[in-house]
Amino acid sequence: MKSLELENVCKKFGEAVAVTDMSMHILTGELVSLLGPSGCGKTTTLRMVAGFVEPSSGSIRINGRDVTKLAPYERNTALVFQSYALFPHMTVAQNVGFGLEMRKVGKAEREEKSIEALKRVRLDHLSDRYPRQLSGGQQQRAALARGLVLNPDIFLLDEPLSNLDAKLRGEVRSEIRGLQQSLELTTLMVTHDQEEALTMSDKLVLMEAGSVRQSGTAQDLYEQPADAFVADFVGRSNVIKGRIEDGKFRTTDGTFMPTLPGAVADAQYYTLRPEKISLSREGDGVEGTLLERLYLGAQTEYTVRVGETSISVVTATPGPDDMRAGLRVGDAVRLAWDVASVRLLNN
Amino acid sequence: MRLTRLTYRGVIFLAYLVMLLPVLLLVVTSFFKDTIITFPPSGLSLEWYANAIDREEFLSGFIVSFKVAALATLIGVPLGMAAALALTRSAIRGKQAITTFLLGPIIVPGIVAGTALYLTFLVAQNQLDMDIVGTLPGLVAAHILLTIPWTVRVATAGLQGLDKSVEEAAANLGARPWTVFMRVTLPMMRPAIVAASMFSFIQSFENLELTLLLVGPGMSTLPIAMLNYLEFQIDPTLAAVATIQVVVIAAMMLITDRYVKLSRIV
Repeated sequence: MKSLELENVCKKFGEAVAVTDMSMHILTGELVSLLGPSGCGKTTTLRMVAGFVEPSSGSIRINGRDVTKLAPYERNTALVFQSYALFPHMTVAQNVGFGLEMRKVGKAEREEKSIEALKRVRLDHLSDRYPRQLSGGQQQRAALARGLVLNPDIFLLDEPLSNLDAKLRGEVRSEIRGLQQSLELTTLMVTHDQEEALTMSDKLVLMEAGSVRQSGTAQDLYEQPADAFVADFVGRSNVIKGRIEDGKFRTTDGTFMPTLPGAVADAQYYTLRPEKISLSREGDGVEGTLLERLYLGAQTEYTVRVGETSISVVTATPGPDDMRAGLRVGDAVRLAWDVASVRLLNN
Repeated sequence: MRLTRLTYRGVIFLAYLVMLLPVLLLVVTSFFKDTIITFPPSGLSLEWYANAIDREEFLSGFIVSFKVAALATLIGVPLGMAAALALTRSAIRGKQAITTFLLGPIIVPGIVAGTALYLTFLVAQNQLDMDIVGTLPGLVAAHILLTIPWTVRVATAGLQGLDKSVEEAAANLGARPWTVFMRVTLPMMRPAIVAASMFSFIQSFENLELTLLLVGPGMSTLPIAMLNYLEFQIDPTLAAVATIQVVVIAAMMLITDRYVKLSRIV
């Protein structure tokens, strides 16, 4: 059994707090993502697990062993760097064999294992090349193989897709996830890309300003966001500020929004996913004016002004017979949504 | 379009001409027969080369210069590299001040630094009751003051581009700090080391001003031997000596370039 546990980990750089009171638990074969905007402390957390940054307080345990004070080379983690960080003066095979050499594995066994790891990432035919002779995607696979070959306790991925072009990204995403699942790698991944996190992870930890805002499965975070920040960061959300008056939500500009009875009295944010709203020319619903229409192919995104508030709506692109097909900026529209899909949040 | 390209090429050609013309003239005149340089020459000859090789002061000057440059490079480059690594990597306070201090010897005019060294050496000689001025160790010590700043100057730029995460990757894979340095940092620094060594060697080899007061009988460098010769004669022997020097240095550059592309570093 492999596991990674962080218990009340804090890190301060001088006066600046990078991570506060971080606790989490990763079990064998799980992929957990640290998600958040840049500067939220996710990379610092990853570097603390790898041993490059020493926590100011708290403890880190790998397979139950306290590694908080151990040097990087004393922990059996494998970090795949954002820049891949391959050794430029060594061939792919030498890169992959480096960790085994450090573990005093004999030459024959080293070569055998390196080739095996390179086969896993379909790079065995390029083992004699130097990193600069490889494409970005190939460099990344070499970096993955360099970690895989060691059978690490914890696999650490730092923004694994950020240096790849958009087309390759989807491919590599499923390749990494496939590898991770078939080898049951216990993995901690850092990313700022919510799509990456949602599609690849078993669990997500959403961080902001050094602390955890919410953790759980992708579904938990998307459907039950704990606060307005989570609601807007995971997927997109219309976050409308206001307060409850007479049991109904009233926006700061005075518009009353449809609210389920019994709403929490201290709610300050009315959050609603753009795809949960339906838009029509007439009929029931909240009245608004079309401000902008963005054609995205399969989907169309509308921005509608309701009172002083802009609301985003995403629908499947209407067919030619649809009444909405001819909508123009400035037209009056009606917005309707199921009140049950609204989440009222108090921070 | 075509005109701008022509102008561009013309400017480049002119720049090369201005830089290389004196060297070319030097090489050409070394083959002239006449004692006093005249144009066109009355004939061509290799007698000045024969004269250059015959004269003992040039050969011994060459050997002294080579020894001094090699030793000063061997001692100065590792020290300069260590300084450059510390200055680019660690968060020591007053980095800028330290850099300026280390570059000092090449900012101060050579003759000033030479005079200061001469006086210091004299005092040291009296205190220690041993010869320093006019000895090989004295010259090497002086030239280390050239090789350290040149190394710092050349290497700092090269080391700034060195990706720290590559070293972290080695540590992550289980390498201890010393292994990381030997197996990863040092090989990655190789281009910077080669460039710094080249520059240091050449700077030391051709130095005149700093060395002027520090040489002694039987312990003179090639540039000073040339200067002394020039005081009494003006025949093309010096052109021959200089041509040999240019050829030797160019050969060194070409050999080095085979291993490390100099254009990538400088």
